[in-house]
Amino acid sequence: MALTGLQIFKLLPNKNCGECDVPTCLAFAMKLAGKIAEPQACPYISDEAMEILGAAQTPPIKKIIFKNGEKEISIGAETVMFRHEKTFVNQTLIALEMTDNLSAEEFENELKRIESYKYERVGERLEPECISLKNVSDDKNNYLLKLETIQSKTEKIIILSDCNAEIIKEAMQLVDNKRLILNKVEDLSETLNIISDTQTPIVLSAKNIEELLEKVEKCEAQNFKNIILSIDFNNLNELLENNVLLRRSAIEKGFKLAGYPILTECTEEDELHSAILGICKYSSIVLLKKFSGASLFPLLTLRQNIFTDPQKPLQIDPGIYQVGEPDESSPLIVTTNFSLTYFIVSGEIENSISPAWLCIVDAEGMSVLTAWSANKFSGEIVGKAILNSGIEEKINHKKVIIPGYVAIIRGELEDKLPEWEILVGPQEAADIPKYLKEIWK
Amino acid sequence: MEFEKPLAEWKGQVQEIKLSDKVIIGGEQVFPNYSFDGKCSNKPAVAIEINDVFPENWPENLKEIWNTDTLKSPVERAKKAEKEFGADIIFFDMIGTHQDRENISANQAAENMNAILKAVDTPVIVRPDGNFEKQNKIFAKCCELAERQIIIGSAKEDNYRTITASALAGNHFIIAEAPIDVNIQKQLNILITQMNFPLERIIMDPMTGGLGYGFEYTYSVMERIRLQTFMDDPFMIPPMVCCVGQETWKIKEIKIEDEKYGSKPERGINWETTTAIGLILSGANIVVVRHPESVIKIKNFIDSIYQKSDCLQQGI
Amino acid sequence: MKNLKLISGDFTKEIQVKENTNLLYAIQESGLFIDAPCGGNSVCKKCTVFIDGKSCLACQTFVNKDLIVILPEYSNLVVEEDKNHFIEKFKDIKINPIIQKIEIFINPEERISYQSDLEYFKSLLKKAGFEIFIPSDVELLSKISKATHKKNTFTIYLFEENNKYEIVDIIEGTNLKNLGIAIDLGTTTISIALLDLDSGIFIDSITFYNPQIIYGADIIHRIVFAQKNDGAEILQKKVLEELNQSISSLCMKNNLSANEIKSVVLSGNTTMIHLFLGLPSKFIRETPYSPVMQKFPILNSNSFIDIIKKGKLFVMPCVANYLGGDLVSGIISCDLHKKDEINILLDIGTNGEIVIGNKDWLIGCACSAGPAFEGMGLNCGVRFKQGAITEVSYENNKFVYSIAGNSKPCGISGTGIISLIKHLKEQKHIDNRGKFTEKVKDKIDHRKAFILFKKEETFNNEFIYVDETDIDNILRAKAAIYSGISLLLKKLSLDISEIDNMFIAGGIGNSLNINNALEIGLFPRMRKEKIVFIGNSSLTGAIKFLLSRESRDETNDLFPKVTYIDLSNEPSYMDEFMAALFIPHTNQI
Repeated sequence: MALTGLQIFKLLPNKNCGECDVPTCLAFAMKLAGKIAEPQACPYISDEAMEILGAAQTPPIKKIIFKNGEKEISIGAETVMFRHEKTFVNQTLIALEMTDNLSAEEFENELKRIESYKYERVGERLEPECISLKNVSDDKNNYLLKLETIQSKTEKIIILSDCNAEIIKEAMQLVDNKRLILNKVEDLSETLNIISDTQTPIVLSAKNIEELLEKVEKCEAQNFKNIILSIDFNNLNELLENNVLLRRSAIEKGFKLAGYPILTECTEEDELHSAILGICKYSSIVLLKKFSGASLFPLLTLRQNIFTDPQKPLQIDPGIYQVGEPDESSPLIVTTNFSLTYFIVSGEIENSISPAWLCIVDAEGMSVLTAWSANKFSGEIVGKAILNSGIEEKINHKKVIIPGYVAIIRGELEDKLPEWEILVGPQEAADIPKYLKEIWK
Repeated sequence: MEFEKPLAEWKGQVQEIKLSDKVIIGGEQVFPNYSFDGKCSNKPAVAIEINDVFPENWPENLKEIWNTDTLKSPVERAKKAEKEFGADIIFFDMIGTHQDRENISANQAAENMNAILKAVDTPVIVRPDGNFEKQNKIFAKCCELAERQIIIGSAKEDNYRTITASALAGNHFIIAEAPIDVNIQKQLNILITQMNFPLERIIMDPMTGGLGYGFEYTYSVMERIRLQTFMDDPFMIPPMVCCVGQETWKIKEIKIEDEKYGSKPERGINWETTTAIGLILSGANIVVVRHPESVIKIKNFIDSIYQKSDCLQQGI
Repeated sequence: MKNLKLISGDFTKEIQVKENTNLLYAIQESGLFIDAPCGGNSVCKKCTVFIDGKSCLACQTFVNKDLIVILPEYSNLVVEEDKNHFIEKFKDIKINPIIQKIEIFINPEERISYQSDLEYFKSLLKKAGFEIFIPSDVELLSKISKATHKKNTFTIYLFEENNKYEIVDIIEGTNLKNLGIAIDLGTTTISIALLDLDSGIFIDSITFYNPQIIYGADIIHRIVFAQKNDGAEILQKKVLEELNQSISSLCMKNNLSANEIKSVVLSGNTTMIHLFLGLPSKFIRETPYSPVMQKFPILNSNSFIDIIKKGKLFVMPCVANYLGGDLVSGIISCDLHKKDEINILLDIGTNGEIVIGNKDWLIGCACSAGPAFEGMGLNCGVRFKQGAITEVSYENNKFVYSIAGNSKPCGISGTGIISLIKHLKEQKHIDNRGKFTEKVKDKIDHRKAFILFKKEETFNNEFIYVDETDIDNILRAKAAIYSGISLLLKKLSLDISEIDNMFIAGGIGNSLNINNALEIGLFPRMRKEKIVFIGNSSLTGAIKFLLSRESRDETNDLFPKVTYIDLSNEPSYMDEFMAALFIPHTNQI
């Protein structure tokens, strides 16, 4: 069971020395309880306390780290059942399947298509990060040739699928082990021998949880750590059940055998459905058989949303947004880049059915009043944002509506934007429709 | 190997609401869709949104599939939604009542509503648009004149009294809408019931953030609402409805012209479907969509996830 | 020049101003207080005054002839604290004042030739058991020199540091007093207590509005104002002037000489202290949210309060940017840091401050409650005084109001509105969100309002009413406090039932009815017997600091131990706040 801050506090020396970079022992204890500090940071911690705290610190689900070009990607290390309890830590990887039976040209084209699939959103690049290469040809040289192509043309993580020990052995010479996952290996015990030194992550699959856990136990007995779990399913009900029960076993029951990341092989007939389920409910990798641009886009967005840290205010990109279809005489409203603020303000502008320009100012994701209190939404900052937004070319007036809660920045903003008329809008977003109707016209 | 399933115990139950002989929602005794833990009696229902006026803002591909002529007639739309597209519920969003749009009067709105009620057999959710003053007039009229039981929305924290009083008098259901906030949602439920309105006739609308536009807030708020339900919070038992279509078909991601991301119609359908399924996973009992293809896909999902459970078949 | 006669209640002040002076400015300069949160932009309409029986906005009026101006009654707030309350508190204290007073007989005839005055003086004191530091103050050295040549008894005031003594002052004569001043420098109000440190007797006290209010109702607005040209100087000047004046009138009233005040202890929130000392306040509000220092140096009183010519100024140390010396005083005042059991200290002021802890640990936070509980920022709010509605009950189908003193009602106090809200809710005049139901039909300024008294019944012939924004103000204030407490408890995984006592401090203090407070959900539900009112704990703590050595040592040990939680960094705070924005609480129905 997780320890509370006060329980941990009692294990600490209560010197309030600040050498852990936290001012008091209680503050440090609460950080430990929230798992945002390591007990080692305390130079005076007793061995006994270290033992108790160390055990409490290991995440119940194994973390596996991959190399993706220059950066590292991890899966696992999850600590909660529901994202609001803290956050989901490592986002579900999306894997696309390729088969080795395509001609070299076809293969390269397909690869190019996958490689070019990316979309920039809220400062994050959305893209599938794994390719699963399925051995269909049963031709070692052909398979390795295709593997070589993927390895040289992309930086994606590669899942070797349906391969025998011999292919795996050679593949491992070819590709950095930090980029590899082994799936559906033909001969498990032989493969385990090959990878006993490298600890290349391997997927253990089974028909049900019992069978799966037996395999995990065997692998663990051979000191094998980088395990990924996969269970076949006949319908989505089974998929949901397996994923929930595995996660629950690991997190709530502390059942170590279940504490590994899960790979979900999406079935072709309801690929979108199983992928959504996997992303929302605990799969660390979803493997898509069919590459559909129209499915991938919402899936990547869903993943970004689900794995956003709910403890951090989600920000939206600063800049000019159109609500409805505004024209040059439409009003200009300014607010902060806290996504909930944006969501509510733009919603109310929509309710007014009068289109408007919305200038989103970078206020580090704070709401209006909080941002103002911390001087992140001053006249200076707002003025600069408006001048740099390019809005002047889109509208034929020089009026801007500021939130009523920060009426006080009006003077400062007038100094910054001498040619502009600064209008003080309502305090609450709900009054925007009324304001636009009565004051703007 | 022996594996003892770590089944969870959930206290409490989502309120079961019989909207019509065929459509029953809610009633789950475990976290939404966790039929391995216990009973999930009723499948989520899929509602289709129709309007009282022509939906100018819809993307062309969506208008095409509905047929422009059909879109001009609310009654034809309702019939098509029910008969052809398989809607379990009709969501009648009266955007034309907004005082700055067609400004349809309260009497006319009630008439339009009754035409829909007559044209279809499904339950009908009725929701006017406009400022509070205008909405209150329509709430009163619609609740008074409805020829059968309706679900009327939306009661909000700043405007729940007229609608509650009207729905109470007319024996209708109410949609209680809170701005993606667990506490406000509960407060609103309390406020409505303090006017002696039965909790059993409330459906919650936690407000939907579109995928990429606040979806995760709605998702987590719904999960939290349901966790509270199953911690036996008596005020958090009503079923939930999510208006997915409205938050999907306006966003820029489905308007991008780039074949790389698939065709626009397909992308729109998948966006709507993904949003709806995500919200079903977090506890939606009704999802409201616009595209008939989405209805099929969502229902496929529901069927697959309710495979094992002993739930009733929803709708027709 | 034009003559202005300013009348506030039974107080009158006459001043002269230049022609065309802005009336708001003139009133502010006169030392009287008028609420103008919008800063004179004719937006808030709060600075309404009466001239020739007609109302007008002071900020839009210019003095072009002699005028008689009727100000709102609150403009001249002077409250005397209940002495007995304080005297009761200090009866068990072991008196060991911060400044010691000794009397020494000097006989120049005994002096050895060629020995310097100071050496002689040192030796005299050494004989009496005091080893002294050599003074660096030339004026003081001159005084010492003169004394050593005069045969008489002298009173010497000493300040001890590490067993050596600093000479604070030397005055010829005996039977002089050793007076001390404790100041609670609040955002909205300031309280001053005058004590005789030799006997530990509480002589008198006074409370008045912080004159800085006109530049902003809360600390953020003050900090913003301080960034403007001369802003910081103006704020400092205002408060110092007011303190000088009040201390001197307090002395006069009690026939005492300010010369005999040798020690001042200043307690206040971090911002108020910074503004008082003239330290930069910018980064209290901005990253990295840093006060200039936590423990302030010991200063000479006359650098700030000139009527205390030779004295020492001690400032209570602060914990963090929004957790100030007022709270450290509070902890000292109720001995939170000495108890085995876990207790809560809640200081209800413009900033609500909360500390939870025991002898091993202390954790605190601050939340912005606003000045509503102090009667400010409400349409008809007043501080506790004559004519204030302090309590509401409902009897025989009627609302019944208790009014302080024998006077016509002039407004509603913080405790009054709390009990009004309780009854409005009970009688279904408002819902749990504080919005009026159909039962309330009256309107004032086109807004729904609940009218307590009609114009003709009141002191100033104005309606006394409450509208939804007033109720919302109170609800937000109470939600800020409730959620601060519940968030701290959650962070510690504690339940309210594990709390031994809750000490409630602050201006709202003793007059608050616990039942009403629990009914509206001012804080989590707990047994009534556990709630203890301790009055102005910032002032009490400062007095203890003056009187008791033990308290002084504890203060210095204490402040680094307090863990500060910045609520704005707590993602769940907003959630807690929304839950508390309900009568009594979302999870308490």
